[in-house]
Amino acid sequence: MASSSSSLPSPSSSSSKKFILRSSDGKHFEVDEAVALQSEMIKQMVEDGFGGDVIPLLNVSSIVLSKVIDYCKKHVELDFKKKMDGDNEAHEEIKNWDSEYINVGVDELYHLIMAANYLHIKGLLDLTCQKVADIIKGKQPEQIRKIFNIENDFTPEEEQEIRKEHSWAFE
Amino acid sequence: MAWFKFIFCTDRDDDDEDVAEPQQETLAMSVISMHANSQEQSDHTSSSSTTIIANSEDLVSEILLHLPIKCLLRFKSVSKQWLFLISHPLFIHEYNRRNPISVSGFFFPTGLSRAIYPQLDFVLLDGNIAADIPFTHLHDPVAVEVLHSCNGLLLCSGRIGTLSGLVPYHVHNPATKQHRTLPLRPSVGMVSSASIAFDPCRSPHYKVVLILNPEFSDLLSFQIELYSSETGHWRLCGEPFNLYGKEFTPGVFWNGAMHWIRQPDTFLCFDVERECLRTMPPLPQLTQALNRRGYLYFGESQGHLHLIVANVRHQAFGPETTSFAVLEMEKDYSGWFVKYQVDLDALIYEFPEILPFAPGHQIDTRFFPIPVPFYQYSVLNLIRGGGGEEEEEEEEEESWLVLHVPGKVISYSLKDKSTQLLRVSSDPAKDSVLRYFWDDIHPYIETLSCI
Repeated sequence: MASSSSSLPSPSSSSSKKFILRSSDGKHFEVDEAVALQSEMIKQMVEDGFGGDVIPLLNVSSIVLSKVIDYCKKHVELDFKKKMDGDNEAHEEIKNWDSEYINVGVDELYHLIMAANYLHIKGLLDLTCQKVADIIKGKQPEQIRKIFNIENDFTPEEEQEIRKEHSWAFE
Repeated sequence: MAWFKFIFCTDRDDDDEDVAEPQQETLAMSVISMHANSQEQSDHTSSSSTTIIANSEDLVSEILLHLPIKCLLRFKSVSKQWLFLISHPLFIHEYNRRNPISVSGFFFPTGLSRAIYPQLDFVLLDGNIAADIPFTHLHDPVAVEVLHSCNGLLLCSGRIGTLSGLVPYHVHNPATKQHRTLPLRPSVGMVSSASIAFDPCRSPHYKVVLILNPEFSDLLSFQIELYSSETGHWRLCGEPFNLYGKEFTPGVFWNGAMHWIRQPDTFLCFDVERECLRTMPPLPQLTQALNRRGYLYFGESQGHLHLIVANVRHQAFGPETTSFAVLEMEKDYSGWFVKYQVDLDALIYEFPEILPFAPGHQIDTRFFPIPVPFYQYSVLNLIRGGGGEEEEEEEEEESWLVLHVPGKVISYSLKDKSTQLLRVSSDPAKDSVLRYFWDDIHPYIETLSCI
């Protein structure tokens, strides 16, 4: 079993194909095909023949895009390692890397969610949504409304009714 | 995320012209337009991005799918949109698909015994005491008894209903407090066993499976009667069949089929999806005729069917040994194999109540006239660890037995043999003998499923 990833060929070095992604603020990012195709949206575009020299990503700023590319690069690398080294070790490494990666401020987190959703990167969407879920898990409905700027459109009676119905969830 | 399309299509705007992909007609696109619109009026502050997220039903849903059920019930009162999303059948289906079923506690016998021993009527697996038992909806808890449970739904009935067919069955989801009274059965046959079959990962519908004695004169002739929540009707299913034996254990739903043990040693298996009876392999070793309590445990966990058999001289006694094998059925019904070998001997030091003549225990000689060796414990449940398919492959999964010893309910790890006390009776004098067996209790599984 291979013990060091550095001794392995880079997972994507064999595929010479590169993609250039353009962020909303006009910056260009050159990435390997495998990295770009982590995004289902880009994959679909390429399959449909829209994958020209430069792929414009209208809704992702360069700051967010570079963070997203970090994620995709690492996961291409770890997926490759998983195939070579066996499941358990890589599984642990992915978990650790992800938890380090997602340790960001809320603002960045929300932008990552939108980017992950727009680019259709399932793993990143799961990771970011789980993080938000962890943040809001212990909160009360009033706090949720505040966080997401949601207007309470229930009448006091309606709200009372729903709360009563699920009173055990408010312990 | 194709499942979102349906929800979203109901009220989405068709103004996303800036989208250059005909194939990608997904919600992500709706988000693009939403995002683009909002970007014009606001810069990247966290409050603006949270508003964008809150305005996107698919992103809200995506986040909600990662929350525990208790939070979701609480968040139903955030807004009408959140209530709509959390209650939507497609959301519930997706939630069930992504979040594996897990037991969070147990209901102990309701009705009369519940009134007498109120301390032991609900036990949470994490050892906490539930301040509000999530089962208070039924108007008359004394008259209504929990007959069976399956993956979060409880089948209840008035006691007399099991005999006469005149009292209706009820289906109850204790987590959401949703409740449905089923129509009365048209047939008059006597019910020998009533079970509910429900697998939210396979179908949002449930079936109630009754084993009837269609003829009062022939107590060994049976027929299956089914209620389907999809059709809302009861109907008899297949031809009557003969089966010897004394009584049925409660049904165990596994692999799309309901399984019963007909005392003393016959299995009955009914494929609930195909609606037909099927055969099961016999028990591997049967040294002597077993009585009712000889089946220490029969149940399902995380897609595995388990059976524990031990010698029990009399049903008021515990097993004659502290060591037993947990058998598991092969997925293809080809036979039983030994999954765990368990020895609870070491537990005696921690829980001397296991010994019937432990100090402080009053032995009623009316019940124990002959000095036979036996131990006072019962296996209430076996909970397999590793919910997801992926984790199943890992070798070291954490699995537990939920055990009952006089006055106590404990969990016992099959991995490291550690124990955790889940509940202690407040009146040890009254609880010096075993009160509960696996067929008396009902797992509490939180589910959002509608009934």
